[in-house]
Amino acid sequence: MDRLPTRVNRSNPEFVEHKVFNQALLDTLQERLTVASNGGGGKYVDRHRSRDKLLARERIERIIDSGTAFLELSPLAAFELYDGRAHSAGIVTGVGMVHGRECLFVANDATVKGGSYYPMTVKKHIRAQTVAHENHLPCIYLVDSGGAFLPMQDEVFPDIGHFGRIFRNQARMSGDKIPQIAAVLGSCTAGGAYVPAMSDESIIVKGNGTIFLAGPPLVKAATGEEVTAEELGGAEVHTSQSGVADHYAEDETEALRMVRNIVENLGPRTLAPSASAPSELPAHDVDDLLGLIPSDNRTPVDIKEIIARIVDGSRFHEFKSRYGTTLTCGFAHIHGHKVGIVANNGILFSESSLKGAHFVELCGQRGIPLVFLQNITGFMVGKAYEAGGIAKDGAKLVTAVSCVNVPKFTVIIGGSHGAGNYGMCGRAYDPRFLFMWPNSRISVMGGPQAADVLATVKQDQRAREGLPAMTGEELEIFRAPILEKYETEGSPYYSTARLWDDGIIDPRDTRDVLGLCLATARNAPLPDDRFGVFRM
Amino acid sequence: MVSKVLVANRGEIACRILRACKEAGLASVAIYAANDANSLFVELADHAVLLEGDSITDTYLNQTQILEIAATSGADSLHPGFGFLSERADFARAVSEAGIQWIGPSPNAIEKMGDKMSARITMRNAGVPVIPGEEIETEDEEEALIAIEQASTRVGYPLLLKASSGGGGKGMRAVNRPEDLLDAARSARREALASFGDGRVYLERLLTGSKHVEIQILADRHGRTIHLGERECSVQRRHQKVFEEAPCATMTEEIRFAMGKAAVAAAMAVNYEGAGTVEFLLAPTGEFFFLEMNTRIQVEHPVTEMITGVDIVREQLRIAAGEPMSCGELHLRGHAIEVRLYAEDAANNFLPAIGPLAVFQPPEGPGIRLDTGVRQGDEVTPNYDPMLAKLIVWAPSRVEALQRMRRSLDEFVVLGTVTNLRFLRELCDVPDVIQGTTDTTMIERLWPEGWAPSVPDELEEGALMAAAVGESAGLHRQATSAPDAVGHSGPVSPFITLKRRYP
Amino acid sequence: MHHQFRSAEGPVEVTLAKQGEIWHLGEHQASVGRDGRLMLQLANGTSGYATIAKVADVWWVHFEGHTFCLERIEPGASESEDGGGLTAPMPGKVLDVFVEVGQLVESGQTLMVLEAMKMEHRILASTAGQITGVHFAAGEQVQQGSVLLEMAEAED
Repeated sequence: MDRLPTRVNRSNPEFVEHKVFNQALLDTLQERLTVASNGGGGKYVDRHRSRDKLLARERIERIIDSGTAFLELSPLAAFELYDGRAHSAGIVTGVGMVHGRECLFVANDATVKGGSYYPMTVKKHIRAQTVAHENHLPCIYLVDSGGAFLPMQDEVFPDIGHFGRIFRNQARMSGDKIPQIAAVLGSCTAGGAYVPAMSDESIIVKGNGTIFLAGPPLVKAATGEEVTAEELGGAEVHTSQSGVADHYAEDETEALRMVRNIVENLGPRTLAPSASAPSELPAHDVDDLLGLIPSDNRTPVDIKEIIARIVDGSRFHEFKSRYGTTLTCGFAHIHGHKVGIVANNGILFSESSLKGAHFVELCGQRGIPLVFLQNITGFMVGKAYEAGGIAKDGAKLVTAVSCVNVPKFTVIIGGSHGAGNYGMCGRAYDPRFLFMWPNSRISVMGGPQAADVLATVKQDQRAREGLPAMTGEELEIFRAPILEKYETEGSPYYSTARLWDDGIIDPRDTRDVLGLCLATARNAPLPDDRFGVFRM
Repeated sequence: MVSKVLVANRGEIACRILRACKEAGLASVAIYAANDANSLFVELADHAVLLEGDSITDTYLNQTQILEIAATSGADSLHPGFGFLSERADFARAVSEAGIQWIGPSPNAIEKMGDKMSARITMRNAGVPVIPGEEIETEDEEEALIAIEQASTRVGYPLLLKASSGGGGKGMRAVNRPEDLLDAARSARREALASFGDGRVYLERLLTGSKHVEIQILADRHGRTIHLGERECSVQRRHQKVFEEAPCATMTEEIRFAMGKAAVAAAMAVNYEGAGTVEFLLAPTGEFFFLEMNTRIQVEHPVTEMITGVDIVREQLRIAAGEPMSCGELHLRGHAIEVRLYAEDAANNFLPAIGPLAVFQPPEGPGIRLDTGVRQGDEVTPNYDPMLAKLIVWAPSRVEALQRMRRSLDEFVVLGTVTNLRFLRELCDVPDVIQGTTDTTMIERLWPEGWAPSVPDELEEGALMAAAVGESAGLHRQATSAPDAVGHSGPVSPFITLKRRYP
Repeated sequence: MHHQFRSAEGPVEVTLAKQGEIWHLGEHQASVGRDGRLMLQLANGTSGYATIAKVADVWWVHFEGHTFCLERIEPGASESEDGGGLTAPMPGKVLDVFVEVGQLVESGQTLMVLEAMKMEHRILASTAGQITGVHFAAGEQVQQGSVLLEMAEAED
């Protein structure tokens, strides 16, 4: 495959400016990740450790094969939500390798409000299960949680995406031959008790581990019976009398080692076939990405300069390079996996949509995973374009993206607005993973556009009511809160806090993160495609 | 007391000293700048302390910081290596005043030998021959010419006229015969006056075709000062030694005796302690003259070690601890040659080169020693001196030593960074080198227009083929499959190849 | 197999043949050893192991005491054509005009900036040349396909 050339001028003042700008964004990201990785911090961590318990991330570290990578998902979930103290939403999720096999981890962080489930905790837990289900990853639950966060019970208890879904997912996954493994390392109360109970194989640690539907206070209130937590649902009871748990661990270290042993004894797995080549680093300097990414989404980027820093050897076989040039499509390898890349290089026109739909089908036909690099303000608007049928051509792209059977991966590298988000495999289109760059923005439209639209509507309304049109300061006062709302809600941190994505990543890690995702996705077989009707 | 040695240096010499400490059972402390964090010497130390700061001045030359580290790390002695602070009398003094044993001579000795003029006077007083020369103080033209003529008979021919306050070759005249003296003196004075407003000149014997020969000295506190024979380091490029050997090929017993005696006298004149080197110019006539004394361990010390069997660095440690040196009567045995491997583009005016040491495979076999501070996988950066390694060979005779050096250089593989390996290899075939008749101007004389390798066309074709085969066979790529899922091909999971946490 | 390298003397083309495990280049032969080194047998009888390593695009070869650097020229790595013509790629508004008639411009220089669909679009010179016409000023609305500028290519 031919190598993409580069025209980067590292001494260009614009390049230098971008570098400074993006480095500052990365510094912020790093800072926030560091804060989140401390969990509840301070005395909560101290208290946790005083019970001979490891932190959630340390537990995972003990289980995965040494010297292997770990891909944490949504570490900034619940960012600035719930008083800003529910770091990582009190639960650590991610993909790591155990005995040579990619596994999905869900680990409660008991240093954050005792590991109780806020709405975003539930959402993150279910998202992790979805990742496991879609990619056929054995699930490892490291349980240490007091159950639902009661003050918000109306947002975590009864609905389809709430607490109950967790156990339904366990049953369904087990049914689909996806192993469910639980280690009870702390309390596991009420609804939480079902996590080990619903698992295929479970471990409980002596002392710290307890499983019961109702804790000693509730038992006393209900029946007057007085018991200790250990008597009620400790390791001894559950491994020798109730049979709720299968393995008895003397301490946490042994429990974590047992998890490895369980994974070691899983049945064989089948990896989906993968067209591959030996892995090769990009030929161009990946650090250049920081100088290439503009400081605002209005400035266009040469997408091939970006692709050249994500794919192996900077090699790219472009498809239809002269047609519909605002969408760049082509084949490349990432960490040795062959992929089809669909990347915005401007706004979407009819031609670019048709080309995109063609390419997506092509990849489906060939069984090649798709990577979407999303930087899109939307589809072209205007009289000529509507008349040209841009809506039906856009619909073809959306149909193709919705129905194609191969794994899809999306990275939002700039703007994600309007129907562009849909055509480019936004969250609603089930990409196996979706990540954002720190510079990206996500909202139905840009702030100024929204302010303009709403101002026009308002002016029309005033005109109907016989009021004079707003001008000058009055108009600005009307626009200001709209602009501010879009500014806040368009931020990648707003998105990642709400689980609209799987995390914000350093652009320079994009190739590695996608490589990990591609390896993860191979664990699931490919279903057949069944495309919907393409409106012609 | 010497029980914990701080090595105030980096790279190859730091490794040499740290290894000696380990062998002697002494604890060691390395200091390193941030850009040296992955260097070999840091790994060889028992304990390594990071130096704050970016520039060399802030790090390896930062006396205050180094003294602080010495104090906090509990070091009781300090080895300065060569370069950096090794010949700074003020540092040696500060170290001693901090109650730390300086592994080297007294600050006084460093001072006396550091200043060229005072060194000359000290040496002349000790009866060591210095390059004959006289300053003509007279300003008046006629008087000056008379004085020059008189002085010329004492200095001897050929001689060199230099402007006293000059530099850069201005007012410099070489005079081969007495009858040319007055004309040369007039024009030298004229030029000196025009250039520096000072017509005074200095007469010095011009020593063409001289060899650079130096004597290794060891002196302990028990009254013993000995020399370990000579080294010849005539092959130099811009005063940078590239090829050193011991013994000197044209040395006679008489000259060695006289030179050794002079060197010992020089050392004793400054109450020398530890290892040092007295450098001489050896004229074709057999006359020799004091050049300077290096009050530290020398880069090329291994050739002396190879022919004497003395571990000079171990002796330094012993002497600093107040023990008597361990070597008894010395016998020079066989011949040793050292070449300096530089990361430099010899074919391109010897410009320093940088790059990764993708392959670094030193030669092996009998009589070969490699002193280096790098290993395969290291990155050569422009931060420090580009010397990568010293390759030393020993053989029973000079002819065999040269043969062994040729073989070793042919075997030495360094890929990823341009080096002077081939230049060194071609040096071994130069007739002057083969005959031992090298002098300090040889390289400039042989390659006035710069050096270029002579490569047989056939080999070039072979290399081209090797590259093409490498490319075709994909030899640059990583392994394709791992013992992952049995029966399935596909790329290695990056979970295995990537080692870190994401994001 | 065909490769192009840049050596000290300029670009060289090499076409290898392979029979079994043996590579051929004219009368020269090579095979890959188990340790990744190459056993070379040259037509003149010289034979020995070559150690090779690739750093970025450069193959480093050590053979018979000599070290060679050969930069591989990637096939087809041509400049991507972009910058486009000097017509409006879509309807929009002219934000900035950076050139005037008669001005000499370099390849890749930004001539004009359009704004459409919340994005800025730069109109770049695809070659060096001289501007012979500027048809719009900042603030004006343009239709898709409108000729924005005209320029004459520099002759060389």
